[in-house]
Amino acid sequence: MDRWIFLIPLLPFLGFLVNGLLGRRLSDRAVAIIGCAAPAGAFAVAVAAFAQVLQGESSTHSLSQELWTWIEAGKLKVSFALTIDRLSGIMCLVVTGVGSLIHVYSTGYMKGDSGYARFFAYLNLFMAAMLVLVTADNIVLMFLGWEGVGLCSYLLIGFWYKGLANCSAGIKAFVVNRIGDLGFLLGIFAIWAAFGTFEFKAINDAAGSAEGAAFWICLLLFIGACGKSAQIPLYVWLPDAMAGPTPVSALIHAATMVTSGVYLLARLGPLFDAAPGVLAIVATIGALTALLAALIAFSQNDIKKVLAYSTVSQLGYMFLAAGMGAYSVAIFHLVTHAFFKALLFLGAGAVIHSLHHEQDMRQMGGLRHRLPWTFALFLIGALALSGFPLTAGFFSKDEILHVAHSGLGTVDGRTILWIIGLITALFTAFYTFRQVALVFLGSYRGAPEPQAAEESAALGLELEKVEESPLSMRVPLLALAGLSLAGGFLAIPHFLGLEIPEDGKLAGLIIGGIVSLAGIGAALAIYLRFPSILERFLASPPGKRIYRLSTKKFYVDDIYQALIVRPLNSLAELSFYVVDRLIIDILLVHGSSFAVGAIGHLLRRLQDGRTPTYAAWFLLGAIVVLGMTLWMAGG
Amino acid sequence: MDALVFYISGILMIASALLVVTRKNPVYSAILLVVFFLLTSVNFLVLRSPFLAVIQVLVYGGAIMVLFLFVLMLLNLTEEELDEKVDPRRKLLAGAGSACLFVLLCWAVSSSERIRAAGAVDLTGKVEGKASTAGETREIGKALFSEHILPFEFTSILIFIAIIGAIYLTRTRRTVKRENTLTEEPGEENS
Amino acid sequence: MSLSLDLCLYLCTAIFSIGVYGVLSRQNIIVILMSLELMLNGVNLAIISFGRYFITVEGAELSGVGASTSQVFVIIVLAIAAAEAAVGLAILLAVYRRWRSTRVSDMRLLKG
Repeated sequence: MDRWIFLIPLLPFLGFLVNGLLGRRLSDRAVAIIGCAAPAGAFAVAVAAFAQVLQGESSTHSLSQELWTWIEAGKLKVSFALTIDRLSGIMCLVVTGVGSLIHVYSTGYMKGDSGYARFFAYLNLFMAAMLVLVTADNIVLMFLGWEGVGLCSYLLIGFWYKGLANCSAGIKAFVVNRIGDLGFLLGIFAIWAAFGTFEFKAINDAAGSAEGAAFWICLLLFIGACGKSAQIPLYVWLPDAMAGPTPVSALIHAATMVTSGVYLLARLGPLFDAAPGVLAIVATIGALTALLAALIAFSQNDIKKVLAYSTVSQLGYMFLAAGMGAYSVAIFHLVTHAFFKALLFLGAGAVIHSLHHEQDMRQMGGLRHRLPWTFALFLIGALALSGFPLTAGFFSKDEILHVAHSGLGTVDGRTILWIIGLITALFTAFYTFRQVALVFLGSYRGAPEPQAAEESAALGLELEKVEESPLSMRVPLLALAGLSLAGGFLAIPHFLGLEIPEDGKLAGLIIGGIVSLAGIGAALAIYLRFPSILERFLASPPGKRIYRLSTKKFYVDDIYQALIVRPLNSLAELSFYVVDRLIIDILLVHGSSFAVGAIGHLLRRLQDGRTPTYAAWFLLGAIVVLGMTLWMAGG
Repeated sequence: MDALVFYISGILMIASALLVVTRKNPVYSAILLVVFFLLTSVNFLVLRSPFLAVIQVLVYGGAIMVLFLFVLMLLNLTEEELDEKVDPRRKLLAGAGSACLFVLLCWAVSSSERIRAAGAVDLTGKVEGKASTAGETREIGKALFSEHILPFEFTSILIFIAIIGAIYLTRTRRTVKRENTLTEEPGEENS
Repeated sequence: MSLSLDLCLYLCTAIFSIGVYGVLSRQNIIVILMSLELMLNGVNLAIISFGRYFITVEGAELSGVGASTSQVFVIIVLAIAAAEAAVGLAILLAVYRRWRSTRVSDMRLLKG
């Protein structure tokens, strides 16, 4: 099986090549088949590989395949080598499994789009890059995949490139990512300086002996993780990334790419364990991000934006777990989150599709009658996200809260973080079911009033025209729903070899369940029965202020705009007008041609064809030589 | 005594040389140059080179300067053509340059150990032994045809080439119209 | 009174420099050629002076033939000067026929 690992990233890459180069000449059906077969094939190989890994003797058994030597310069050697162990195996399964489902969904969602083949090509390329990222056995190769997914993210966010906002969102994502990548790159350099190798196995084995360096390395790598996984302060790109098609949001910005940062921490777990200071930072930022994003999600009216901030928030949970040293708990939540967040996004996509691309929740409502399947499946996802007892999200979230409270191994439990996590869980349940209520429950707000039918024809779609989505979209939703319900029983942390102290677990589960139910109940109550409570709250001064903070996203984007974007723009303009136009064009280019011309002008006088001139130069030369000879001979 | 002659002729040489390069009329320059050559010949006599003294007058004065004067007559330059209209800056620069050169050369001469040491030797002194015949025609002849035969031959070739060159360069190009002085029928007498 | 080598040489350099001045500052080609002859004569004088010096200093060992080297040298220079003057004047005549000018500044075909 070792010899076949390379197929895992290769199959999607081939899919990219075929659809990318030949896609326009193939029929939509062919494109769809190729586009879905590739990740499905990779999934099959991943399953086989994972099965073999599971049968291995120890929990660290792995399959490796070295493909070729990528960089070799003196002592520096980086090889293109893939490895499947339990951790990367799980990641592969999630990426290819959820990825395949989303590919199938896309065949229905993107139907009729002029860039059908291009979409599948990019999506396959993304899969290939992501799989390289998770199966890489050294950090430089992982960085290759890291950059690759960043590129694909940019391409897919700006997929409908004719819209300026889409392109700007893509650029924003790429640039913010780049800032993180700087940290990542510096971390790579630091790793080389400290360890002399890039391979994960070697680094982790030697981690114990590099205390001082470990702090800086981990800090730098965490900055990279913040960029990719949308933590404070580099999360601002994720909500804007909703400009891309919904399958993209589901796959890249919920289930897979944004989890790369968590994976990085899990991969280099022993190294991070050697830097407890950084772990504390990680946990704190994770918790704060979770809370901040949840607060913003309250006031969002776009169906996808709510889910985007929800993703940021849940990623914060993962980092909170990682910051407590419980990497496998973070991975557990990563997996369950992939299931239910993809489900939610695809469900939202189904709603959008059915409403002919309406995304504002204020125009929705009461859709459970027209879209029963979508409603049921979306509801399952919402329950999982809110941590409803016995769903996948329930188990993973409570695992995180448990380690936050009681600590793990050498890391002490941090009560304040636990409290933040608990509060955020309450908020999560609330805003999620706010969304459910606004979209599916109550009565449809998009329908025009019967009397004003003529003027308000532009507002929303008539309810009668709203239809359930095609099978190609519903089946993946079904699969994901099943996983969202059952996934919690997978016991992944145990799988990955982590033993968690059991005391207080049951109490934690109970508290978590209560919090979740409370949030759900509160949301349903307010939005369905007692909207006046909300109105009164929003009318009151503190309510107004909180609401404004929330809708303005805590002014973070504006701060960045003023502090960073505008100065950089001015610098760029300065650079253009002064350096480029003035110094280079005028002074250097024209100046040098002018100088050459002037010198030519001068030198032309030497060769005027007149003998006396030449004779004079003779004499001058003779005088110079004679003088120098005499002078050097000592006079 | 000889030295005195050398000094006097030396001063006169410098004077005539200066005059040569400054006269407007090239014929004056030519005549003055002849004077110069005569004075040079005197110097050669002082330096015990009688053959050379004669040759100097014969070749330079008698051949080269004659050639120069012939050409000048041929050109027959008018008053206006003679006016050279030289930029005074050029004269200044030329003067500065040649003065520089003169100074440097004198410096070279004076700074050489050997030449300073040679100051003790009187060039007009008597020479004993085999070299007492140096400078005599017979010895020069012998040297020319034994030790220095190669330069001699080459020089003659050079002169030959110069002759050909001079003739060729000064050919006239106009075709000569030949009048047909012969009548048609053979044997007919000219009337 | 004695005549020393360095005095001879000073005289030669003076004549040579005057010749240089003539070459550079005159426009009439014939005068330039004459200045050239001046320079050559200066050189001839120098050669003879040196030859005479060596004869005086080392004369006892030299044979007559060996001692005539400087004379031979001067003869060769003389011959070459004559040839050069002849050819130079021939060129001047040819140029004069075509351009009607003896000014050296007017002969600028080598320009460019």
